[in-house]
Amino acid sequence: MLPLFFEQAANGLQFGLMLFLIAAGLTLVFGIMDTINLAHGSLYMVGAYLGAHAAATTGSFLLGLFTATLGVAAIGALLELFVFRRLYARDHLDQVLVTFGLILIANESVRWLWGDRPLPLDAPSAFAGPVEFHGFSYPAYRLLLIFVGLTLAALLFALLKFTRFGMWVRAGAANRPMTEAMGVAVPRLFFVLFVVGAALSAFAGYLLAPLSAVQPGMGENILILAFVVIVIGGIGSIRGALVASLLVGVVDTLGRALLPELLRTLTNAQLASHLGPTLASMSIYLLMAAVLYFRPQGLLPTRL
Amino acid sequence: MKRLPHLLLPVALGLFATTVPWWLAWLEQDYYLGLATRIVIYALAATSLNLLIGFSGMVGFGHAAFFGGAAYLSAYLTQYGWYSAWVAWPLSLAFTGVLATIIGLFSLRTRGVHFIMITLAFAQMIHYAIVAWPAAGGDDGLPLVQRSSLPPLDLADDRQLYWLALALTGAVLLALSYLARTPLGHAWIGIRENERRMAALGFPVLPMKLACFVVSSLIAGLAGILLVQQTGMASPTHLSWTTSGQLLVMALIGGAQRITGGVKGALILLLAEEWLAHLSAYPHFWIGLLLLALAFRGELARTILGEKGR
Amino acid sequence: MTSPLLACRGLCYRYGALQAIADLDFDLMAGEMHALIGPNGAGKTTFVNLLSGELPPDAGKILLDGKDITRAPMHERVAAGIVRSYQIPQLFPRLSALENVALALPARRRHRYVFWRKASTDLASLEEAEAWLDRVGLAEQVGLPAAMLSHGERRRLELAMTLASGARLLLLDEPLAGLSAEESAQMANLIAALKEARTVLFIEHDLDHVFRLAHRITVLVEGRCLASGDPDSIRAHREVRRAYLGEWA
Ligand SMILES: Nc1ncnc2c1ncn2[C@@H]1O[C@H](COP(=O)(O)OP(=O)(O)O)[C@@H](O)[C@H]1O
Ligand SMILES: [Mg+2]
Repeated sequence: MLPLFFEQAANGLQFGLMLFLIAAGLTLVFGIMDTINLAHGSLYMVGAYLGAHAAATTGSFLLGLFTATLGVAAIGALLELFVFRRLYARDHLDQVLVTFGLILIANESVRWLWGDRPLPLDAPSAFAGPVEFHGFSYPAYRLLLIFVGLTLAALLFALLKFTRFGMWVRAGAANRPMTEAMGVAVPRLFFVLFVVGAALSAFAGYLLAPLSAVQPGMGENILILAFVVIVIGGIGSIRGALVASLLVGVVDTLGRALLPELLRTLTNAQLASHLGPTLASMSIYLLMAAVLYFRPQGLLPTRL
Repeated sequence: MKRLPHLLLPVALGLFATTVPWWLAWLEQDYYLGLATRIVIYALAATSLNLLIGFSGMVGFGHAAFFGGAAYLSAYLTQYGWYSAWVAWPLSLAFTGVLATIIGLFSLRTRGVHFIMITLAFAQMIHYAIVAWPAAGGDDGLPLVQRSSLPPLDLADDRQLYWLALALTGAVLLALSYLARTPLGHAWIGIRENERRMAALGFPVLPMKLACFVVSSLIAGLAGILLVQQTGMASPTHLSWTTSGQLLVMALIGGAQRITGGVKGALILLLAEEWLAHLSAYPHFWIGLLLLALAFRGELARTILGEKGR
Repeated sequence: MTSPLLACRGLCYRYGALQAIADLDFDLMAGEMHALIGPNGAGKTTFVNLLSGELPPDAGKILLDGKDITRAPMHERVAAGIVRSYQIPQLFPRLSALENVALALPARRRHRYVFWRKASTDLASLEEAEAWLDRVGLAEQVGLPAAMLSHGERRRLELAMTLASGARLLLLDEPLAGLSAEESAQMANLIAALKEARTVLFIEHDLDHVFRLAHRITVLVEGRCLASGDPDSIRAHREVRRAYLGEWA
């Protein structure tokens, strides 16, 4: 039981960190621009597709990563310039309408370009096997993701903390009217934020691809998880997003792995086999409900 | 006399809708009766969102939970021989109401973008919970053993099912347009216009919003029950977030704050889908473009017609 | 001595690090016209928010008729007879002036769940709403959406809604703000006409109006009560003169 627990906890950490990369840009877009972007998951999906395609044609995992990140950054830039820029001032209904439309377009486009079947992507060969560690063994690729995730998260925090740009972002997320008072910098700020958010999301999408399936619609599940993260963490709060991502990653992974087992020891086998999968798949939403009940503004709401 | 033109269009449309089965029979296109029934049912489901958005200003993105939840339960009940609509349907609706109350109690603590995300997340929870429940058939969905018995109607007859759906949808539309003129309707509209002021005027805003949320969910649930009758199957799609999105989009493109918005939206979207599916292997690509065009129609008109287009 | 209609003891409220209301004691007698004055940012609006239930106090007690209403939700306070107005008018922009006032009537509050009868069948309410609009001089604007009204008209509509609520205790947050001299005088007359009929706590900066209208005045500075008493004693109060009146004299 114990090795299993540790392995699952590490998986949770790894998933949580990737989730953070996806949610980080999104929570800032919500917080600063008060804009709902349902198509954020599509950027994640397109990243995975572009990267997997590039990796397959060039044979280089790293080239795939660059293609995914830069390609989606470019797509994000175009989207910001031509679509989102006109959307910030609209009401939430229009934002839902447009970004829902974008999801449909994205899903159909990848279906058209790559077909219905999942696109394969293998972890780079150097990280294909497990690493042994004091009798535990853990997949090297997942370990790599943990490392990369931690590094990027640290980088992001440093950016937000020490650069002028980061200062603007933090001020804007904590106090929206303040963004308006910043004047000329606003369009540029929104643009950079959106593009960085898109690139991070694609980056995560590509890195997660060897562990999941690259297929149409893959963005939506992750989008909803990112929403849960944002709600739990507090809209616009980057620290909240980190805490919530890890929480969601761990609860989700552990819930799926351990809850059915746990139930089996507590109740009879038949009830457990009925209840286990249901409860496990509900666990993060129950977590969200609990957080909402006690702290409607999220765990670490932004406040000046 | 002044009210006459005002009534003319709805009455004419109602008459046309009622006679659709005969028109189709005359054209020998009975296949399209299924589509017509679906349009009517989705119109009802989308109308539930027009109630929610139009009356109290809440953008619910999780109505698939109620639509699909009621659909699943009503299908499930037939597996145990509960064929009577008089029993199975109210039971399914009661379940939907309880579900909506619980979800509402949590999500109504928030508003705006928060509310959109939270209703979506809860609907996703219901989706996973039901699909993971072994008795619900997993990804395959849950077949309806047979259509409900609702004497004196015979729902096994496709036409009667169509007329029932039409009558219920019509009744809901009429009820809503009446509701808009009652004290309850006015109070909900007040909440939409200025929630803070309503609270300051002594209206218990939260329970009133919850009431609106639950009523809206019940309408969505009713539509779900009807849909299962038509398709013979409760499927995970009915619970999925795309259904929530589709219903919301219908409600929006027809005019979110109009009572008839959902009807218009369901017509536009489902007809477009049907038509595009004949033309292209990727119909939703075009639907997506259509949504963008609708949202930016002001800008588009200005670009095409030049500045004078303002 | 009679007991106060409304009493606060040790009321505190803070926004983050800022102590907006600090250990405030306050009494309001039935039937009195009580002015709350103080520099901008003194916490006057926050105090009204605490009394009306829009904000929950961090500490302290609010008593109405001796009953503890500190934690009572807003709608219960309205039912008990406390209604507030806003410094920035809070109207229903797309509804007509008449409907704005009608929504404020106690009948609408009572019938809030009525869905089987049209609101327009309640002729008495509509007449009542019209009478209130007439009273504040908006008889002409009955059918106009609130968004189309001028600033002065919005203020008067705001007052009409507060009056129509039937509350015995009115909390008026700067009812004269942003009005021209002429409009201010009209509004002051409308408020003066409430004497005896209702208990009023109003916030106002113009001391001429304050001294003319109020039976009693409380001076709030940095969330604390600097002085409280009848107009003459406030005029004579040394600290008030120095700390507050001096600014304007
Ligand atoms: N929502 C808020 N968040 C943070 N500080 C606030 C908020 N509202 C008011 N304040 C601060 O509290 C103090 C009191 O404000 P307020 O009650 O509006 O004063 P007044 O009505 O007397 O002008 C001011 O310093 C103001 O800046
Ligand atoms: Mg103030």
